[in-house]
Amino acid sequence: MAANSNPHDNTYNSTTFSGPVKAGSRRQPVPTYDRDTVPGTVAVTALPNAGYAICSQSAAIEQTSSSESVNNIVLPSGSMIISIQIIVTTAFDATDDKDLGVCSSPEGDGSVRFLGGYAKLGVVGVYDYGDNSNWTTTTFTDYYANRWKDVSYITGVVAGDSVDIRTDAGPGGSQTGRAILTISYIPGLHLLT
Amino acid sequence: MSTTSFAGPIKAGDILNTIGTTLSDDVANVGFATMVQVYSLSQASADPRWTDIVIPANSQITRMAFLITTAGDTTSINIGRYDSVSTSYSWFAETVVSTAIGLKEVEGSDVTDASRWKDVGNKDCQITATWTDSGSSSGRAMLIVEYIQNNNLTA
Repeated sequence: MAANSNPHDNTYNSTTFSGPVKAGSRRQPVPTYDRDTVPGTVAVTALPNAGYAICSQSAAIEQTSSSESVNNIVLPSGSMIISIQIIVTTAFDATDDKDLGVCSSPEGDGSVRFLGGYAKLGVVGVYDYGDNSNWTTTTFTDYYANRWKDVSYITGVVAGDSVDIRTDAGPGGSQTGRAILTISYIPGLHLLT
Repeated sequence: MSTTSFAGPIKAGDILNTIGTTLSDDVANVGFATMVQVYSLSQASADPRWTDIVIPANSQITRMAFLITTAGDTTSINIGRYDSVSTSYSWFAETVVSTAIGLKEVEGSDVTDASRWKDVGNKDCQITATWTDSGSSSGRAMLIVEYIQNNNLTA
């Protein structure tokens, strides 16, 4: 067996769906009910209990001299981002700790739209990008939050278009930083669009 | 975009049962897909407020978080459960800070009773929330609840 070969290569199959995958024993919505009455006006045993399977996409990230490095992460229109993880395998060392920002650059818009600030990734480890206390500028603005809530809310994204995710490593340093970026999301919720 | 739905938990792995001791050969490697439900909370609503989040019985909660899009004017949100037979609330988390925009993870001292996270119980669990309104009613957030369906843990 060759090094790094997968012992399951012959048995792994991939099952792919075009839309969200849900699971639960009840899936049909109940007409509007009174949420202010205790106990509830509709028994919990009659309410839908189906949830969404979380989808994730990952890409290898390099600290490069050019900004807006293109990754292989493309999110369906209207998706909600629920977490972003960065696994740093080689420490970043950009000037002023502006190691990595996660962003998008919608087609035809020409501008970079960030999902948060620049994360400080100067030590090998696992980082939660949603933790704004680790950003160089710590303010989590409402436009960042709304872009997480619905990626199609990003300025310049055309309704119905997929959204490409990019990263921007700040300037300076030896540019040897390496990481794996993973975005977890619910496809196609369209909470704002 | 079409939706595909299943009644029971979604699992993946190519060795379904353990019939030996050799990894990659005869030791089960099947895992659960983690599920998620979200609900839009408003500080202006009356407490307690029902959410549309209903967790299937015997599920394990793996994460609760708030994506706060408008900061609240009080410091705390409580996340509760409803067992469908009483008016009592058994909190999953209490006094979660809500006064800043951003992703607020429920963790550490926010968690009231870890056993409720381990297994929500033998009935479906409708999630409730309270978000004290001190006047401005400004707060808005998405409640995110991740879970493993019907994991049915005992420990």
